[in-house]
Amino acid sequence: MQEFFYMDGKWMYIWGSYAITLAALVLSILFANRRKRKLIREIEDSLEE
Amino acid sequence: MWQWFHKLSTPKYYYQWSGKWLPWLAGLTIILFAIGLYWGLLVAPTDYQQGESYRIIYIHVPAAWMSMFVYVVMACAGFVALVWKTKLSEIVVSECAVIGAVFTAIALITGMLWGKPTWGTYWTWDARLTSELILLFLYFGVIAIYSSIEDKRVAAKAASMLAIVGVVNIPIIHFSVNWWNSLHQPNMDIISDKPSMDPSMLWPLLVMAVAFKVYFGWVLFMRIRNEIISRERATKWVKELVVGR
Repeated sequence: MQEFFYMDGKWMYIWGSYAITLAALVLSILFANRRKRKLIREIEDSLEE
Repeated sequence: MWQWFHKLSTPKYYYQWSGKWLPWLAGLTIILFAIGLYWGLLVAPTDYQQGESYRIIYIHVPAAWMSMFVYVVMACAGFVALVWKTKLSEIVVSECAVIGAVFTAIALITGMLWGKPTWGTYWTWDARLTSELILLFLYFGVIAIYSSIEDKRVAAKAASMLAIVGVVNIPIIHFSVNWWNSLHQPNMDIISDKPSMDPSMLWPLLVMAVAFKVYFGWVLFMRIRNEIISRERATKWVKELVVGR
């Protein structure tokens, strides 16, 4: 198990790459979700006026 | 067929149609990533030349492929936007630019992190690396046009033209490793009888490539739907949609 995380001493490059990629892909989805909620709230507010 | 396309290009119909696909795209993305990551990181053997750091290609190569694929999608949408001026194609151009920029940035950053332990340097002004960097700037250009021109329809026209002209960069990226002396690895051969990678390493790469494609569909649909609601907020169907939730 330790060997797997150590990656032959290249762990910084490998896990760094995977972390950055995963973060970018997940954040893109979360941003899109947040924008949708915000848009719907805005439209709801405009309807109440 | 054409009638269906025509119908699909109306924002309201597209919104309803794409909504049915979202959960499938989301589920498939997660399953494919789980399989691809497990396969690529734990099952695939260690490379005898590059050691463990070759495992970065499982995200680098799919991201690089996507950076070019998304650009072609964006340019095609730009062509449709200029010729038929449908609203949906204009939205596709603007949303592809953002997603494509993310894929290009991932390709560049993971490439640098792979280059350091393999080539001994993060960056070199090599034809492949430079043309991929130009691709990032082309995406930034399209994004900048959209954010600086107030009238979205005028912006779409200018952005579409830039997207179409920039397509010349795509074959340059692809053939750069053949045309110029390059430090970068040659293009992969995955079609012939003797592929350049062993199947035990190639299969997880193909799974990851499909995972990235499906992910692109998922995030593109989400972003297009948001943009539709934003632009059509004054219409009756959007108001009904919000009330009826």
